[in-house]
Amino acid sequence: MKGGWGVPLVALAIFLLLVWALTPVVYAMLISLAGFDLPTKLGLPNDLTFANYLDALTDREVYRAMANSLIIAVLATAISTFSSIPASYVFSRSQSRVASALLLLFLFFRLFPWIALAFPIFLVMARFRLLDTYLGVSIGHTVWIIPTAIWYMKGFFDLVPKELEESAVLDGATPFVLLTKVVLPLAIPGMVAVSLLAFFSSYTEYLYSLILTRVHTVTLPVLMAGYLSEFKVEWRKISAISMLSTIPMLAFYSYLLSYMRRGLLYGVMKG
Amino acid sequence: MMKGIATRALVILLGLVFLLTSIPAGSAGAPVTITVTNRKGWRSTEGIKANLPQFEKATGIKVNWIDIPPGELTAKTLAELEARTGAFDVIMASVEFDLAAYYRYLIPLDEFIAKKWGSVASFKRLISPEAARAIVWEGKVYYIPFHGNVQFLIYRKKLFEDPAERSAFKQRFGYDLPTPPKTIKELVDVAVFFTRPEKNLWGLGIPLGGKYPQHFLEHVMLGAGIDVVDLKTRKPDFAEGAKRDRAVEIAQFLFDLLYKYKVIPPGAKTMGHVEMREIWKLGQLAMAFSWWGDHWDKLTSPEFVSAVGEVGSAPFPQWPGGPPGRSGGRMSIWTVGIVGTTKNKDAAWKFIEWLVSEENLQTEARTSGSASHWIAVDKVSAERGWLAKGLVEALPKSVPPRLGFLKEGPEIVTAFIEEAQALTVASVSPKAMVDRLAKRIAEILKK
Amino acid sequence: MRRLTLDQAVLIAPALAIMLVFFAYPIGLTVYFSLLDYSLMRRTKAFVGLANYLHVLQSDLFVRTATNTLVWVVISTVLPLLIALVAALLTYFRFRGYRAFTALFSLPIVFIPSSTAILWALMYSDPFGLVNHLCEAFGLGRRIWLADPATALPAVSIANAWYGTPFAYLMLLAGLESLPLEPIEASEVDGASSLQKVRYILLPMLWPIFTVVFLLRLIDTVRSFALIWIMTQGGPGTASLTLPVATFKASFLQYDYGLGSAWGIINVIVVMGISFAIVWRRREVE
Repeated sequence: MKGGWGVPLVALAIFLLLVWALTPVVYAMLISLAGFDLPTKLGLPNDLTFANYLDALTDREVYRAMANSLIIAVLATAISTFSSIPASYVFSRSQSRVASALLLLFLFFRLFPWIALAFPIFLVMARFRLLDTYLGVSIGHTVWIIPTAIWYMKGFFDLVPKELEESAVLDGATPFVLLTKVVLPLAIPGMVAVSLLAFFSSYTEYLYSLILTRVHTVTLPVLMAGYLSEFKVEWRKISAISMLSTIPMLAFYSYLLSYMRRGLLYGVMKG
Repeated sequence: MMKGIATRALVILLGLVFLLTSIPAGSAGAPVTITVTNRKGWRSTEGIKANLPQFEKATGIKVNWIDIPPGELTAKTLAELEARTGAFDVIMASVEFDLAAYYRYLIPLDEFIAKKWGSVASFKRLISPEAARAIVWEGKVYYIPFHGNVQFLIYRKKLFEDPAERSAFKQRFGYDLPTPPKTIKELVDVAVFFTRPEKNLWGLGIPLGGKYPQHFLEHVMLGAGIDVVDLKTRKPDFAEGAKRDRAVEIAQFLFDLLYKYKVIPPGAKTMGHVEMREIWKLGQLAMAFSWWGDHWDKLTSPEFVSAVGEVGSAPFPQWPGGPPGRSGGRMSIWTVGIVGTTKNKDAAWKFIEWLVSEENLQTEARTSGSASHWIAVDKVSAERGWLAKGLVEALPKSVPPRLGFLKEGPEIVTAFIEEAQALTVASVSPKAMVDRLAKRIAEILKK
Repeated sequence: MRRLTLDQAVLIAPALAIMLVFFAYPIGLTVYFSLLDYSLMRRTKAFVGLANYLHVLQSDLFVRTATNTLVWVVISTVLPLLIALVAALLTYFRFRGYRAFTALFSLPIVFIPSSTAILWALMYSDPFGLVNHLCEAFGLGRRIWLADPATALPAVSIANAWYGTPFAYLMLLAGLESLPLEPIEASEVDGASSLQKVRYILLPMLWPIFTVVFLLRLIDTVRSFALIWIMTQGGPGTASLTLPVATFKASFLQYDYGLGSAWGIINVIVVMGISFAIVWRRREVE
């Protein structure tokens, strides 16, 4: 970027890109801090206050939904990670036709439009008496996470050299021992990435949470969407809740960025 | 050794799963628990909800009161009923089309009613005729009403009584400022008169977000004697002839309010009645039309009165040429019924008896301003000033939405809402909107 | 080992079991329901063959929905991908403070879709929304963005583009960083400018990855539901009705599960069409 115009042009581009990414965030943050009067023309709110945050945090409905979201996300992460890791290990190592056919099936699952199952999944969950339970909702999420997780994880396993396993097999190790003892320690970065992916997929999910919850397990996305559809729009408070909802994401933000970069690419390219 | 770790991890996982699944969905422990659905954030049931501990203490029945956002209530209730999950014991249902959809999953209440009120006939005499008609399906009573409402007009007395405004109005229109307007023409004149966008004052606030434009149109149409669907012939009532022309006039009326007279605040197109109430509170409206029965206590509260002065209320003027004795339509009837899968029929009935007790229905009127369809209670509530004059006058002259008596109701309502929204945002002309809607309804009924 | 051993089958079993019970089985139900006249209102459950599909495909609503879906997909794929490409290329050249830029530019990913809907509904609202404040400041006048049939769909699409940009950016950046360095180093020896490097070396090398990212984004927008549903519910009228929203509406606002299932299967067919393009493309890339 030499020459007279290069540097200012790049600076301008960077500025515009940041404006694009940050304007809604900054504005919602301002509204979440606004006092009595909301701005009706370009400008800042008259008075700033933390009252809206206090209001949101002391609302039983809100902190329950936050807790529900976290519990369900943890559960969904556990189920999907523990079931997809062994499967993806097999998919990475097996040469069999059955395995590659199944792998394609999982790709099909992965690209499926969720909406097509909205009512049937409700019926199935009702049959297993899993509606409005933590397990039910997290299984609902898991169904969408497992296919993605398997494809990502397979990408990581493909990178683990096979020589180690071959010597272990000579020592008479079973696939289970191979997986836990030899391969997994080498694939830990992949596992972390997949767990994070699973956690955030579950934490952000809306449609299935809407369908599979009644009251006790209502998650944050469902609760927040309800505020807009209820025609009871209290912008200050729901902006504050929006800001609070980012905390788990922000806590892992740097991991999220680096693992997502790698993880997403493996999922795309290596699968 | 690694195997040991894996086993332990597995045990921990299973333990975790067990722990989380063993958290019961409902609260257990109490001898009898019944689950009741409720529209979340509905002001009319807030007071009743607060009375719940008394009922629980007196009967030993635990009530699991479930709040579901209004937009999701019917879809969720129906899905649960169809899947026979047994999740709900008592459900709340509105005349809009819930009554038609739910009753096959419910138990008839005739025996309970006979035990409590002597006979079904004597029970029906206790409630309004329209409600008595709506709760009967295939000859049996499935629902007990507890809430009645209708959209009506409110106006700011301070503005209407201002001598300067009165003389200015007389000078401009040649007659005294009508307080409140009694005809559609007067309504338009007054709305035009008070609309001063530069001062952030609008003549007439009507919430027009989401489903509300349909509420407005159906109200005026029923007042004009046009049913959406003729229940006898099962055809759209405004497909042709004089009724079609009148329906076009009504659609044109809404269109003109928005785009010719420009008396409605433009933001109204995304608003519901709660937001409209906030605009009222800011003093930006001279008149407003909506479900004010749910907000009457707020509108008359010191906070509101000190902000914008006293509020007056009246029925929305009837469309010229409508049937005599009728004011408008779209009367709201909310009821409760008992789900067939319940294991606690008697407890559920005890709850319903308590819900429609005089004390609770009066609480409802006092804490929100809505009626109950129970004649005696509503009379007392009106006398004590808990109900708006507009509501008291409009309710007996209203009819419930006809779609509530049709199984095609939801499909027709969906089509009606889409067309009414299209009209509101001027993407279709009033004439085309009416004809297109009639065509769509005819198609739905043919299927 | 050409055959699946028992041990391997056991390792696959948990994932497969979950998928069969909670995914394959419901798919079967959807297909089955789509062949029934299954309406909770009409109280019917009779076999009607392909009548539901015909009803959907012959309706004006389908044409409307298909057009809307196209607009929605074009805006919410092309816009974020172009923005992300510019951002990724800039970041690739490591200007001063590029780490901070990456962190700030990717910030939208910390919001859940419901928050995104709230953020943008607030931006578009009147009289409190920033978009109208800006329009007024520039003398353009206010609009009711989400209630105007001309602007509702583009407005929601832009919100979706905003939400999708960081994902595309991170993927493209990773793609750029995985490219071999030799050709670029060689071009530096030849004295190529940055723009020339981008035009003649980076972009051609990135192209295969770009197309895969594009197709994935395409699928995600075709099947995305939350944002439109929360912000406009497909309205006003049918102005922002897309395939998934129409599907949900048929099932959960008209309580016609037969019709809803037919809409759902049509969704599946569209998405699968694009998926085959991905699989095919992936083969080519490899």
